[in-house]
Amino acid sequence: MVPSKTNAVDMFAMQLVFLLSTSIIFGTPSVVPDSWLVGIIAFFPACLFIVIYGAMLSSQKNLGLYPLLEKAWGKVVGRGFVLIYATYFLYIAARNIRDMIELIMSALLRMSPVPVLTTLFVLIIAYATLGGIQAIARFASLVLCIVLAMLFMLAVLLMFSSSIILEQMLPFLSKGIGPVVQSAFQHSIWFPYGEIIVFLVFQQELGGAKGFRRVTLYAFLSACFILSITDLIQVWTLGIEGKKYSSFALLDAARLINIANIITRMDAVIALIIIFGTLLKCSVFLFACAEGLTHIFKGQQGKYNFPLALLAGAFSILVTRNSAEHMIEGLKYVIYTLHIPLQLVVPLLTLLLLRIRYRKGEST
Amino acid sequence: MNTENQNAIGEDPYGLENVKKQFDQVFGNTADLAVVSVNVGQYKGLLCYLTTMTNTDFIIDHVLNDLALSEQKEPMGKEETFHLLETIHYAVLKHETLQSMDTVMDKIVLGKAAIFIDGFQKVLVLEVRTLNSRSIEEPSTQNVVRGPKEGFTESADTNMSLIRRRFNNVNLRFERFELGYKTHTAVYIAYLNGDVDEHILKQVRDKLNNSHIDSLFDSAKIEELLHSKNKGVILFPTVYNSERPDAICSHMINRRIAVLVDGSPFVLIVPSLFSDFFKSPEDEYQWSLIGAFARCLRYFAFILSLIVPALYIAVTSYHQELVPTILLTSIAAQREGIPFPASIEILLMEITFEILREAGTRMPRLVGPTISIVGALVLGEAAVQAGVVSNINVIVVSMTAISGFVAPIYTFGSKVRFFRFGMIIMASVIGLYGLVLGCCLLMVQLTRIESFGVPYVSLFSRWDKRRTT
Amino acid sequence: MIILGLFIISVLGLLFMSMLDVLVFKQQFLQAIVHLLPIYPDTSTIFIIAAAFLMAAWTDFDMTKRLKKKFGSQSNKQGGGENGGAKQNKRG
Repeated sequence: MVPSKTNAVDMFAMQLVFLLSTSIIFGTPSVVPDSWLVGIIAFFPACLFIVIYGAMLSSQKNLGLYPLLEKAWGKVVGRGFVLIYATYFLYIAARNIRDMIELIMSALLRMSPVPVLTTLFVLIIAYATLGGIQAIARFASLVLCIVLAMLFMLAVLLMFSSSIILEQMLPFLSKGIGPVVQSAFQHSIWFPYGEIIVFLVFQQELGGAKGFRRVTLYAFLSACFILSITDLIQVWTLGIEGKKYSSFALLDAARLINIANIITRMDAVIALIIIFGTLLKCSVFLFACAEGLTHIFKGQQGKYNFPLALLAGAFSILVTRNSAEHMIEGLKYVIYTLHIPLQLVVPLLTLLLLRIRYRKGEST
Repeated sequence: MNTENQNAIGEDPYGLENVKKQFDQVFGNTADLAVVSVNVGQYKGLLCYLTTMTNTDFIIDHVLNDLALSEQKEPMGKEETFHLLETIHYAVLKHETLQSMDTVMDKIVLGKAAIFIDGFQKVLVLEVRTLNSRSIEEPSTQNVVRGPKEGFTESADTNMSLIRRRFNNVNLRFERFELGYKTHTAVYIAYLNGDVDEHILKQVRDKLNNSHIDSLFDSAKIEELLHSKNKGVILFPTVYNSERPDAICSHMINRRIAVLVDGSPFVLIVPSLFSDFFKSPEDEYQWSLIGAFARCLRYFAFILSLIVPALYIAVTSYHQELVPTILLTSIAAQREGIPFPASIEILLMEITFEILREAGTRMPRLVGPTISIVGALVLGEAAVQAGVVSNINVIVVSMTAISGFVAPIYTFGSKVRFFRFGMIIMASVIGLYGLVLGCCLLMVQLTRIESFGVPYVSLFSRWDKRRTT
Repeated sequence: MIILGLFIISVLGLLFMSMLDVLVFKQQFLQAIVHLLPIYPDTSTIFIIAAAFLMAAWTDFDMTKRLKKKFGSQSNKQGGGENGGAKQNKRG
C-alpha cells in the first residue's frame, strides 16, 4: 500500500472544524456583554499552547503524547497519566455528544428516545475512526466546506431579511476591558483552544513539531476569526440581552430569517450542520482514547473503537442529570478540575522533566 | 507411400503419423481441427490449425500459396527448407519456431497454425488468427453529442489498436496476462510508462497474477477482483469502466492504468476516484464553463437522488414546521384520503419503480414500449386517480429516478440505490436526524475508501495532478 | 485484554463524573456515585454498556473465528470438501 499522507490542508481543516464544531453553536459564553471581544483576546494566550506543545514535540523527535508521557514520568506513572488522558478524552467526547443531543432534542425531535439517538450517533463515530486519522482528516475537509457555506449563507440570509442591526452591539465596553480579559482567561482559552492537545497524540502521522506549529497557528487564527464573526452576528441580530439569555444563540439568530415566507426556520438546518462538526470532534477524541488504550494494553489497532464508542454514548447520558447542571459544570468545574491541570499543568511539568532528564545532545 | 518408409515413421517420434496420432489424442476428434497433408519443398508435411480461429481465405492466401511456391526450388535438406520457410516465405507473418512438440497444442488453441516436416524436430508456428468480430460502432453507453463516436469492441486486438492510435508515443506499454485456468483469457494492462505510479502498477500485476478464477467472459469479473481488498469499500465502485477509447485515453494521461479483457467491450481504469464517475468525456470538448456546469449538475442530481425521498418523508411526517405554509397545505390537501403514511407510500412507489426498471432492461427490445406504457400510464396515473398514492409522491419518486440516471457510469448509479433505501428507512424512523446521520455515514464511508492507496475523495489534494515522486 | 482496558476506562470515567458531581452538588462521594450509577435515571445505559462489553468480549475471544471453525467443521461433515474449497477460493 502506498502510504497516503495527510496533507497540510486536510490537517488544517481537521483542526479548524475541531475548534469550531461545538463552540460555534454554544458561542463564547456570554458572561460579559462584549463576548465577541473575548474570542479575539483569548487568541493571544492560546498561542501559548502552541509554544508548549510544539516544544514538547520537538524535544523528543516528534514522539506522540503517550510515549512522551512515558518517557518523562517513567513507566508506571507515565502509564497512569496515559490512562488519565484517555479517560479525559473519552469524557470530553461524552460531553460533546451530550451537547449535540441536547441541541437536537430542543430544536428538532422532542419525543424521540435519547438512547436510540445516542447509540446511532456513536456507532457512526466508531465507524469513522476505523479509517484512521487520514480518513478523518479528509472527512473534516468535507465538513469544513459545509460549515463555512452554511455560515456564509446564514449571514447573507440574515442580511436580506434585514435582521442585522449594527447598533445592537452598543454599548461597547460598558464595564471596561477588565471583565472581558478575565472571561477570556477563565473560559475561552481552555475551550476550544486548549483541547487541541488531543492532536499531540497523532503527531507521528501528522508530521511533527514544525508542521504542528504552523498548521495549528493558522487554525487558531481562522477559528478566532470565524468565532468572532459569528458572535458579532449573534449580537447584531439578537442584541446583547437577547444573546445573554438564549442557550443556543446561533439558532435563535437563524430563527429570525424570513425571506418572503418561503425560507424560514433555518435554525433546524443549522442544528443539523452541527451534527457533522460534533461527529468529527468526537471521532478525533475517540480515536485518541483508543490509541491510548492500545498503547497500554497492546491490542490490535481498531479493536477498541466500537466498544469505546458505545461507552462514550452511555457516559453521555450519565454525564449530567439535567441541562442546567450540564452548563454550569461545563463552564466552571470541568475547567478547574480537568482542563487546567491536563491542558496546562501536566504538559508543562512533562516538558520540564523532559528537559531535565534528556539534555540536548543526550536525547536518544 | 512405400512400406519401408512407413516402418521408419512408426518409430520416428517426429514422423507425420505420430504427430497425427498425438493430435487425435489431445483434441479428441474435435470437429474444427484441420490436419492437412501438404508438401514442403520436396518433403511431406502437415499443416494443423483450428478452422474456428481463422478463415479459409486467409489460409489459402497466406499459408498454402507460399507453401506451393516452396515446391519449385531445387532439392535441399530439411534444415535448409525449414530455414527458407521461416525467413523468406513466412517472413511477414508473425511466426515462431518451436524446438519440440510439447507446446504446439496450446499455441493452436490460441489461433495459430503449425507446420510439421516429416521426421524433422522443429515446428514452425504461424499466426493465422483472423476472427470475425463486431466492427467498430458507436458505443451504447456514455453517449456524447460532440466527440469521437468510436467504441471498443469485443476483440482485445482492436481495442488495443484503438488506444495505440490515440497515443503515438513510445511510452505506451501493453502487458499481457492470462486469467482463468479453464478459459485462458487474455487480459492486457495498458499504461504510459514513466507517468504511472510503480506501486499501483505492482499491485495491479500482483492481483492479476494471483487470481484464482476459472473463467472470464467480461471485464466485470476483473472489476470485482481489482475492487476487492481496497480499503473500506462497500458500495462505491473503485474501478471505472468505459466503452469509449477517448475516455480511457484521457484517464491514462492522468496516470491511470487501463485493463483490457479479450471479449469485453468495457475497458477498466484503475485507480478511479469519486470525481471520475461524474466526468463525461464530452465535458472536455465543450467550453470549459459548460463542462463545469454539467459536472456540478451531476453532483447535484446525485445528492438529489439520494436524499429527496428521505427528505420528503422526514419533513412531512416529523417536521411539518420546516415547510413553507402554502406548500404544506397543498401537500396536505393532496394527501387527504391516502390510506398509507408517507414512508410506506414512498417505499411502495420506489419498489414499483425498481421492478419497472429491471423489467425494462431485461425485456426483449420489441416488448419494451409496452412496459413504459404500462408503467407510466397504468401505474403512475391510475394509482394517483385511484387514491392509492398522492401526486406529490409520484413527483418525488420520478424525480429521484431521473436524477439517479444522470451519473454517466451506469454501475455507479445502480450501486447508490442501496443508500437511498437506507436513507428512506432512517428518515422514517427518526426523521431529519436520521437523514443527517445517513449523510454522515455516507461521507465517512466515502472518505474512508482508498482505491489502490489513493484517497477516493479528497478535496484539497489532487492525486492525478501530482507528479511521481 | 480489550475487556480489561474497557473496564478500567469505564471505572475511571465513572470516577471522573462522580468527582464532578461531588463538586457541583456538594454531595458526599458515596451519594454521588450511587446517583451516577447507570441504574438511574433510566436503565437503557446499562444495555449500552453491556453491549460495549459484549463487543469487547467478542473480539477478545475471537468469536468470529470460533464460530466459523464450528460451522466450517459442520459443513465439512455434511457436504464434503466442496463447500470449504469454494469458500477458500473466494477468499484467496
